[in-house]
Amino acid sequence: MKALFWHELKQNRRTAIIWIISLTAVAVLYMSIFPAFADAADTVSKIYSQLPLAIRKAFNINFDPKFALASFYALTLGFTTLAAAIQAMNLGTASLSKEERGKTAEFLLSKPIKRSDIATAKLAAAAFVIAITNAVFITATWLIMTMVSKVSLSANVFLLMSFTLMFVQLFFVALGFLISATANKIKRVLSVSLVTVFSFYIIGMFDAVLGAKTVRYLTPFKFFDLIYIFKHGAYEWPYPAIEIVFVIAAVTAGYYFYNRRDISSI
Amino acid sequence: MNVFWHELKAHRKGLIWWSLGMFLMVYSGMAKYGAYKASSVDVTKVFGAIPKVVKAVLGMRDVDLSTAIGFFVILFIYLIVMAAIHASLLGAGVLTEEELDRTTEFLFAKPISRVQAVIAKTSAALVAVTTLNVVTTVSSVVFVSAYNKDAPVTREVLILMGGLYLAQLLFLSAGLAAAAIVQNPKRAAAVVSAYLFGTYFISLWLDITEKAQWLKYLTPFKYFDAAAIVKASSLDPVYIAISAILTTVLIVLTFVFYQRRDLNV
Repeated sequence: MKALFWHELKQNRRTAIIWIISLTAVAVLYMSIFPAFADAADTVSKIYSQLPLAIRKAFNINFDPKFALASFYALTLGFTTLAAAIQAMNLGTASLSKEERGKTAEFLLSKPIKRSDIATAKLAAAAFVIAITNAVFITATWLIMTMVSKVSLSANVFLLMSFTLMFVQLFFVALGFLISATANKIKRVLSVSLVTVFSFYIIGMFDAVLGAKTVRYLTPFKFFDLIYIFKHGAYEWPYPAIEIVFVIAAVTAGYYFYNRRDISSI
Repeated sequence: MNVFWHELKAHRKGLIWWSLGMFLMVYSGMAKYGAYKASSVDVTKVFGAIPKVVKAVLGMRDVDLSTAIGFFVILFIYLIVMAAIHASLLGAGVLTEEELDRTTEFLFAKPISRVQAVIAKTSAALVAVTTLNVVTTVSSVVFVSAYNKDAPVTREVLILMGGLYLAQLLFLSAGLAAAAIVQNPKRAAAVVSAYLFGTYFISLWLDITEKAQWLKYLTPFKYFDAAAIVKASSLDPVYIAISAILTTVLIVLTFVFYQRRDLNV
């Protein structure tokens, strides 16, 4: 099991490094614009408050000079989370299915290792990559934030906001794992994950049609309202619970099905 | 011909999902416009006062956001990114899948040359890309005119969709070329995605700063900048020429390199 874990990490290493570097670079580059944004924030907030609520919602931002840094960081997190979700979904979806696609499932399953142990090793490797990604991302964004802004967010708020990225990732790792364990032949991991992640993202944009409340229960992209977190220094109940229940259910179901599945061979 | 039909069938399901995604994107976007249009504030004046940096950061453009077409300009950037992702992955996919599925030997044991195989696969991808464009065009025309209260803008929407199609062709050929040139078939999709997101990021960057404006010739997202297209009510011939040349070069490269490729079996 340990050997498999390390093998998996080694296989994922290059992709993981590219993902980590690009995610972090995008966030850092974006945050580096903040000073120009902050200068304008004063004027903008006056103008912005005249806008009708519907427009402010359409642009998904809620800012005020007091909130400038937080809302700017929220914006940055907004689209890095989308990319990070794709990374996570790739990890989950590829985990078990790549053995079948690469025709190495027989080889792996003929080793003296239980299927559930295989799943555990692969999940652990994916979780490890996610953890590293977040550690690097959080450190880098914190550093750039202290560089670009005189005021900074409190560590508590910053971490609560930043961890939403990881929560969204865990949602998609679990979903990907479930798909990987059940779907019969996944031809292209990237297509599966792009379609899935974008579907959830688009559901989130459907608040004008489905109602803002409903949408929040349906997609992890809307579980966490970053401005709420900033204002209250806490997550909003019951969304974290939905997240946890989903992750546990998906992973459990993944194990259940993988243990019973007829693995396609050559 | 068999390869062509086989490819079409293999990508049918994906195409349906992508089409649905584009349709929903247009629908949800324009529904948002409908929601804010209902509130009667003179948004034009307000938007005019917002500094450029902030606008760029929020993804707003220099357009009249109180009109349906102005709002559609903002939606267009999402549509073009999605269509570009579809086209580039499809391009990389059709040429690498045989190697990834270990079916290269099977395919080339048939009486079919490499050129024929590339032509069949490229044509199938072209059909898929065209279908996605038609779906997007129809959805856009329908939803924009449904919410539009001003003078008809169907012409502008159609011009934008023409730009979308050129971008799709460019990214499709980039995907094909990456698949033909990059030796490791698993890397092709990553290479073309890096190109896509790299150029997208350059275009975002150009919206924010005044520096290094010459970079706009390097990023397809600037060739088909919706705000400029709507303002001029036509595509810029310079950019049409650049994208046509790029697409042709990439297609030629695809054929040349695929002929010489050491296929992984």
